[in-house]
Amino acid sequence: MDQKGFIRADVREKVTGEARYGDDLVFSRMLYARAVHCPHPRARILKIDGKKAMEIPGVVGIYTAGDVPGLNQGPQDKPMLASEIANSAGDGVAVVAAETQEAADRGAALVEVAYEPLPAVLDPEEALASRPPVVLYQEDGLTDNVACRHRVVKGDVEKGFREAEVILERTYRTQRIQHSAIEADTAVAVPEKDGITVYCPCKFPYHIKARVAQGCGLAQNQVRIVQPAIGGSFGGKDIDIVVIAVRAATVALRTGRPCKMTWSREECMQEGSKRHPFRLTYRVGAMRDGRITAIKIDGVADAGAYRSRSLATIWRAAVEAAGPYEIPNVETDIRAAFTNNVYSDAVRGFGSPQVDFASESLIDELARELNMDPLALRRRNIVHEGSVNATGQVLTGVSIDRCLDRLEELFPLGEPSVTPEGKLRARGIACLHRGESYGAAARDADVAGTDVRAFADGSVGIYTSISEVGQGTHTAMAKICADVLGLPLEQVRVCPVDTAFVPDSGATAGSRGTISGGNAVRIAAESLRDILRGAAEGEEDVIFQDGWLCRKDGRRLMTFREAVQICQSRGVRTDAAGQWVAPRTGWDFEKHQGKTYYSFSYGAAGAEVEIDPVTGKVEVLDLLCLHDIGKIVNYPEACGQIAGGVAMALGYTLTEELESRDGVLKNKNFDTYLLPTAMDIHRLRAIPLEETAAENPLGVHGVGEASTALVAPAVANAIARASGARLRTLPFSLERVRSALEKEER
Amino acid sequence: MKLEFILNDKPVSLEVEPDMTLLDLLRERLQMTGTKRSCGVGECGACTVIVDGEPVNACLYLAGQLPGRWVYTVEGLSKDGKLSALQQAFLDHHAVQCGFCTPGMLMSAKALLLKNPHPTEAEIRRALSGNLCRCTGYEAIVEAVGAAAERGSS
Repeated sequence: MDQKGFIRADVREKVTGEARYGDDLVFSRMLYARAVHCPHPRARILKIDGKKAMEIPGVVGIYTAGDVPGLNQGPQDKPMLASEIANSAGDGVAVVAAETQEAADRGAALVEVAYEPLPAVLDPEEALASRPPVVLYQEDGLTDNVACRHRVVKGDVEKGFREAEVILERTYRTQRIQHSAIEADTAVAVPEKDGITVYCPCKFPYHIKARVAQGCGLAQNQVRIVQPAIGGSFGGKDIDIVVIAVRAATVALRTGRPCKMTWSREECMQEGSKRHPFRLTYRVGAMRDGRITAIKIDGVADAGAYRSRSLATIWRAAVEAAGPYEIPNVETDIRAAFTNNVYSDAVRGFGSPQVDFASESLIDELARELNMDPLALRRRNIVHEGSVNATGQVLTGVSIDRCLDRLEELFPLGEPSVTPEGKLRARGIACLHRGESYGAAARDADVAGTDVRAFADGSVGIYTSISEVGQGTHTAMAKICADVLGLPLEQVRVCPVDTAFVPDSGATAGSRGTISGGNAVRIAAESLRDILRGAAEGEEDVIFQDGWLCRKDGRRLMTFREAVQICQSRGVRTDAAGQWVAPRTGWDFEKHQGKTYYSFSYGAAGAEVEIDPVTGKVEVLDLLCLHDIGKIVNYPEACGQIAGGVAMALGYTLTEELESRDGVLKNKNFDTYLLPTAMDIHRLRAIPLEETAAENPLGVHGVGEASTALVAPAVANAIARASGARLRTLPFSLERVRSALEKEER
Repeated sequence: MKLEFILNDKPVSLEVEPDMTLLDLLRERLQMTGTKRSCGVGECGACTVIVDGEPVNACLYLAGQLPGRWVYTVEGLSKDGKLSALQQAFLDHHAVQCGFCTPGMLMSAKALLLKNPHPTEAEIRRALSGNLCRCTGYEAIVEAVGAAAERGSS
């Protein structure tokens, strides 16, 4: 395995400050916009009075829902601007545009909105009760607040519980968190002669394009989405960007001037989408020898006020909830509720971090009940090659056994560590399976288009809409292309993402960037190679290496550049299209069974904690996270993906929680919403493994998300082993840890 | 007010409102967008610049405090298109992902190395603790700063 890797193409401009992000862009005659936000979780908008705001020098206009040129709100979707009723606190109700940001801010503060506060439903369980206080979308014909529901049914759980010698029931709760990309969400809309161009960071350019067209009442061929450098995504910068882009576009189309809208950090926190909070109740039955006979899972998630990507999140959660174990009888039922809380959407990992916290905590609780070693209990139940998982899928490419072997070797659970006076220390572990890419329930086809073009000077450009959000995927693609064409990496470049030129490659989501985008590049590069072979007429078995076309014996025939020029002089196009079409999956919505994802990836993690029982402070002294990612393209960047996911998960585990009072979020910035800092991480070992080549031509697995899912259960299990106290609610704040320790003492 | 200060070794003279933040001065007035805006309250460190040798959050620093001071921003790190040892270490150690926190990280690291050319890992972590990074988990950044310090000594 080449652990040295190679330096990314995009980083030089990022260390000099030359990289231009969305908020760095300035256009001639550009206006600045600021939104006015609803302060109530649910309210009727009676009147919007912009008179005072218009008196601020520099303010040029105030725009409301009626000014949005096209569709303002689809059924149960987040509106571009709330029209009659605002369904959550933070919803934008108006936009003020001005010559300067300062004037727009002052104007927005002076817009007077008359609201009639309406009864709201904030608790998802209450929202799903038989008689909920509020049904959010009655006018759409909905009779309840079920945003979506997914079930998995295998065998007969009641039979499995009758066979069981031990039955355990436990409830776990996860909190609302936010992506918290350091770059705030932003868009600049520039009106064109016959349409609009929007410069914005995003993870799915063709989705933004379709939704901006819809919002602006334009055809999709009139809308161009251009990506500047992107300051992080973590599953976000999708629907929030749609909303911001349409607001900016509304101003741009109404005024004929470019308009920038950058959310303040407070707006990101108040209005931006969040990770779904879950309540998960698990009932598990097992034999004394550790064999699990049945598992029954009931879950409720808070979708917030709008639908967004709840479906994909809840479906993934339902599919993965039983964990990487072969259990004969499974019943999972997870519902997401519409509430008047800020809406939930995809956050790095979709539903995995929530269910993995629950299922992997449960396994340790069961191990304790059975007086078994947690690793031995896992080994007793894990899936193997050919196992039938909870959804009835026969598994291939399974490597969790080897992940656990490596974990045991590198992070022995029982290893005694020196515990300082007055502190408690122990280790905990967790492991996972994770479905890759979109999965069977997705509405979008799992395909990725890519074009590869060779130019007369021998340089090659890749055209893809897989987005470089910071993960290094564009350099990985360039490497894949360069390897096929036998070129040095410097000769291949991924061109800027601009929907005027790049084909639709789908979303940079579900850890599919390198799998889908990379395989599409490979297909396109191979087609281009076949075209260029034509330049060496009469030669057979031409190979491409070191910038040359060569005979099989290595004798050089012509340079790559000469081959391109020869083809072009003959009128042959030197570009090729690649289309990656993911292997088929399918889901039976009646039987709640199916082939859910075309492949799964596996991983395992260990955490060593030190608890201060006086303060309740938990320090995670050592974190080891290993993921089998098949073929590794760029080793240090794969490590970076895992390390970053682990750090994000550490925040999820210990400090990050958006709290609200009466439906209004209390955390407004990073002073009260606490991300991990460099001081919170003591030792972090991120280890990508090349155990099993994934079942796609490149053999790559996704690496972006799985690492976000294992820290919480590993830390919970370590805390329990150190102190006996079991924490079942995230995050493990000082108060929660202290009170759990006190309960344990009693 | 008339403001004169030194920016990346060059004298600057301009007319500003004294309550303008250094961040707005850099980004809006001087179109130097390498210094990033993120939280606006001095918590994330994305706007870190060096003033008279000290790292400061440009979003909280006012133009009125600037006269006669020496200011360094990320744009001042490389000389004649050649990356500084610190910048090169960030590349070599894969310490950059999305890059949005990078300018602030570099300036905090630079301020540390100015004062303490041979910091321990704990000192590096402390010096960077005011700079939030959501991408890397900090490991690669801490390594890069350590490596730059070593290279500086050789």
